[in-house]
Amino acid sequence: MPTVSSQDVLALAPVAILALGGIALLLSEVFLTSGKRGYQAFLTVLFAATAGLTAFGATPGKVFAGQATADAFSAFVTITVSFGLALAALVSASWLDARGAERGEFYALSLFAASGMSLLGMASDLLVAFVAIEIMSLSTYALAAWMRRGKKPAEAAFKYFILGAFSSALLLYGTSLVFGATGSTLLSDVARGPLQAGGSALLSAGLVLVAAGLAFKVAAVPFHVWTPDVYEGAPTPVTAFMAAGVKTAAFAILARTVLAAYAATGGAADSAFPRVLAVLALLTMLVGNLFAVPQRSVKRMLAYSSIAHAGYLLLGVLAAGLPAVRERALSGVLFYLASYTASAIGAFAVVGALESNGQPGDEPADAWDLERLAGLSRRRPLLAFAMTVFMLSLAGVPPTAGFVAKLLVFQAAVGAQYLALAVVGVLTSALGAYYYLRVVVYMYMRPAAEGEPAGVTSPVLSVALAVAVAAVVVLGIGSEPVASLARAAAAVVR
Amino acid sequence: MAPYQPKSDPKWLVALTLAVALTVPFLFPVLILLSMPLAEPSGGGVTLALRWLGNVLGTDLSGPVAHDVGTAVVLLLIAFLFINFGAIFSGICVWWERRIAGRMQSRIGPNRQGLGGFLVWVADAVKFLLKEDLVPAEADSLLFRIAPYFVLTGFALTFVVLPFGHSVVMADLNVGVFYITSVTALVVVGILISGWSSNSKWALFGGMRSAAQVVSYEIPAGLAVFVPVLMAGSLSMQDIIRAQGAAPWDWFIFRNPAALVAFFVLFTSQLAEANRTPFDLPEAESELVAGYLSEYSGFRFALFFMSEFGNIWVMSALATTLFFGGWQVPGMPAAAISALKGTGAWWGWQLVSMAVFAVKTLLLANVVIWLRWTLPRIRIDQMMTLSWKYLVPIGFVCLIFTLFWQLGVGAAPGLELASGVALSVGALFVVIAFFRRVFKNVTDVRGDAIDLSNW
Amino acid sequence: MNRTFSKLALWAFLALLVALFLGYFITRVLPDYLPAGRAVPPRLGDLVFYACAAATVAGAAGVAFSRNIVWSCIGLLIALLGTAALYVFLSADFLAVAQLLVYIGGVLVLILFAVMLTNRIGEVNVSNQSLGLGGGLAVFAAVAPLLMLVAVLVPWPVRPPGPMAPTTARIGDEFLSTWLLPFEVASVVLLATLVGAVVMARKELKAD
Repeated sequence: MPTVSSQDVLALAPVAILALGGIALLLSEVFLTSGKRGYQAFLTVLFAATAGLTAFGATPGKVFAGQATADAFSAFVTITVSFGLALAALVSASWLDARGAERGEFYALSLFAASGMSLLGMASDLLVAFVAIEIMSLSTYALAAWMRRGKKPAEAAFKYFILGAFSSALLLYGTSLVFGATGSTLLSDVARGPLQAGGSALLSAGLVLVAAGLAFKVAAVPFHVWTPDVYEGAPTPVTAFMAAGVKTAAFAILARTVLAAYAATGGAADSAFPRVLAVLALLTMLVGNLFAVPQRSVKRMLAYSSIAHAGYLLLGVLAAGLPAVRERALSGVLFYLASYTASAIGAFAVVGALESNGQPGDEPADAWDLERLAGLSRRRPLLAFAMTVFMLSLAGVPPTAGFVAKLLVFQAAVGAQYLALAVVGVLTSALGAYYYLRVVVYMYMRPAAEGEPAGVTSPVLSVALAVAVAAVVVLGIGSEPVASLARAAAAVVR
Repeated sequence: MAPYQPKSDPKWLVALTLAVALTVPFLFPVLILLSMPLAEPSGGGVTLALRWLGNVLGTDLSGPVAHDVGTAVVLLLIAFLFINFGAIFSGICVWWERRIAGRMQSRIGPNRQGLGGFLVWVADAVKFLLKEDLVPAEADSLLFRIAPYFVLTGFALTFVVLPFGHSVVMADLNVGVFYITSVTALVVVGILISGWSSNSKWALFGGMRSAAQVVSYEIPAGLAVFVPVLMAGSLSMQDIIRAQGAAPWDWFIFRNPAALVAFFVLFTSQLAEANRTPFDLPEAESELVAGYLSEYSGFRFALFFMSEFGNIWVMSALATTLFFGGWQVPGMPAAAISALKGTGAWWGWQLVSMAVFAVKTLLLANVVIWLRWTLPRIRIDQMMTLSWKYLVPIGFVCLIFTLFWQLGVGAAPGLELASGVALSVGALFVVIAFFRRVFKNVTDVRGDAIDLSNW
Repeated sequence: MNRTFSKLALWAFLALLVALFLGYFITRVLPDYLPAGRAVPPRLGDLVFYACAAATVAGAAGVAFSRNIVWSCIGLLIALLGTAALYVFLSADFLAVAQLLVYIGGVLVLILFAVMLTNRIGEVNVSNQSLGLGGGLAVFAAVAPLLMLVAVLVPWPVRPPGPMAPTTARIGDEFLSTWLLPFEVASVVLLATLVGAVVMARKELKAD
């Protein structure tokens, strides 16, 4: 019978800190006397920062008999998730406060979700991964339903829940088949292949189902149909957190699973698994970018663009299958996730800041239409500048973080001989530049519509945007520290 | 003019009635005791019986098919005995309840049909069987018809693990208590379906109230059940009884202060789960006609009532098992009874253990009936408050206290005995004080001894 | 696509399923019991097993194909009961009882409860779209061959079921040793779910 050591417990400290932070915020609501809730966002930031620092200092090693792994990879994921959580909490504070909807439960659920994401970065066992995914998903379902009055939010929460439950069922079904084939749910055992001859069909079916379940979470085509409606209907800060955090965590476990699957199905190049993944990546890049072009709603456009980014990330994960470029590809994916976290949360924060302050039900149908951004450079020049930086980063224009991220991923893809896919990636990125820069054009070159409200201004939001802009620029210009961190993280995953 | 004097039955008739009332249902457990050898899991009993039957009939019955058929017949026979025990117990329980209600409300109660009114439950049963089986128009007739069987199944399945005596239990499942809590879930399903399929708003409200009530009270009941389970270290009903002793200070209820509290939590929750007053909101006559039963008549109505009154036995037997030492016979430890196996005395001690168990259970059942005629029905918000704000936290406290208590007992084994003696003596004083008080009240009113004249 | 057609397609589909099952049963299962085969007559346990398995499948079909949501619930009840019975055949007593408690005592009762809380429950014929034919068949066509191929191709190891040994204590030990991490983390799942449920069920947020 395995015993639990202090190392097992200490390695999980970031997860525990985030979960305890959630409980602390729940309790803060119980003992609340004044009705002032401004401190809750800062408390969340504090917990996120603590968790990130703890992850930084954690002793690497396998914990709980290999069910979880504390290594540089998981630390990178935790730090990215904590950074995203902190940014999203600051963005949420002003957004919710303007609508009288700020409650401790919101931050508690965010912290619970982040603890699930952090655990997902460590999980190296399909069962642990499933439980972590459930923590993350159930919390985000509830967050998506936070402002549920009105047709769109209700639809978003409902769709997200139903399809998310469906994907969890797929994941669980796949896990049970994998268990049947390998007699274990540990990824290290899965990598050894089926227990007995003839079990490879079972293992492949199981892995395909697991991959499909995870593809739902990362919104890869054709499992993406929920994404635009959910991202559009959910409260904007929640969308920001979902886009950044869920994507980061889901890609972390996807990378670990895919590497195990490569090993289990015998080498990277000639098995069917990479081909399936390649088709997924191709479809995701194409569909995400093509559908983003005609969108007039900025929020919906960002939703489709998040699908497109999932495609680039999938390309990186695909390239990681080849041992020669594995380190480069994975570090590219990790760097990409970090840069996407900063850019996407920033972009959604700007969108949220421009929404009218009423209840979501009062929003007009074209709430996030491009027209509302027209003339923003004159009304709120700083906000317009921030949005420009985020758009450039998402489009992958130097000297922003997005450029370096795309560069790393495409380099890895070329190195892994996925030339055609890399070309498609570059071409679709160029297409992406069109719809991202259209936003910039509206902000700077179109006259403002009459009577357009100025939107939210708050010092907290300004801080969040400033941090996000700084992160995007710093990651773009001085990318080396983070990139080396990502390389170190990628190096430990075999 | 002299005041009306009710015709009083002769004392011997009262005694005879009570004796019959107590004996009739227990004929079935005795028959079950006799059939126990047939129900051995190894199938040896069936083999022997088939060999005997083959000799009588002059055919060879040793094949596997004959064995399977024999097993099926034996199982059906035992199921028949159990269900009839439930049916007849609930019938007699109705009569007993009506007599007690009569006494508590200073009226007579049924006293016409045979043996001082004892046969009224037979008359009731015959009446139910002869009545028309109505299905309301626009009701979902198939669901309406099958709903009572869900309730009956949920009730009857509990008898699988419910012990009657030292060796009289259908199957001593390793998960016994857990099994009982889970099969009763079928009762809720039946009630919900009957409420919905009746196509009546009273029935629907009744069904909804019932579901809300049962789901709420399952939690404190489950927490309370964990206390004796932790003390015994087993979920099996017989193991839990074997972990206790015959003397009151060896019962779980007194061996741990938290268990005393847990017993009351469990008892309250079970009253609520069985829809007994003061928790009879799902069938509140004054508000909902008869709740989910409104549209039922005849045999199906009888099925509902059979399981409702039979549940009094189930809940009392469960409490006896978990807290009151079950069938443990004073002066005859379980090991000593087992050692007698194979002799005639073994059967005798089985009967004694069954009698001990039955007496404890009937005393508790009496409390259930007594509460019904004492307490008023509570409001639905009070019902919810009681469960979620009081019983659930108390249940958790009991559970955690028991964890530490067991650690303490591991360190100092005298702790259990000390608690057992102290609490049982305390309980004895409470009971004595209670009876003195009741006796005083009765004599103050009547001026003389307790009057049994309306029997 | 009119209603008659979808009904016909539904029945054809059901008939296909039944035919597949019967075909499998007659060709793969029955020969073992026929005199020409292993000459072992079906025992009581076998019969009960097939009855439970059939009830599970029939219940699941009822959930999917019933037009009345309460009947779907009844189908679910039968399927869950059948699953619990199958656990018993696998000597998993604790799991079987837990299945009863959690899925019938908890989930099913809540589903029935929710159905009754919905609008228009006064009308008995609450019907739901039982089949979105196009999408459903597409998903079926995508998934079923995969799973059926796996079911047929994989050389499933055949092992006689273990004796009915108590599993409760072992499950407890495993939860607190090998599976401590998922077991403890599951409590965070439950907490998050509880908070989320309260968040969704409460009144609309207003500034206080």
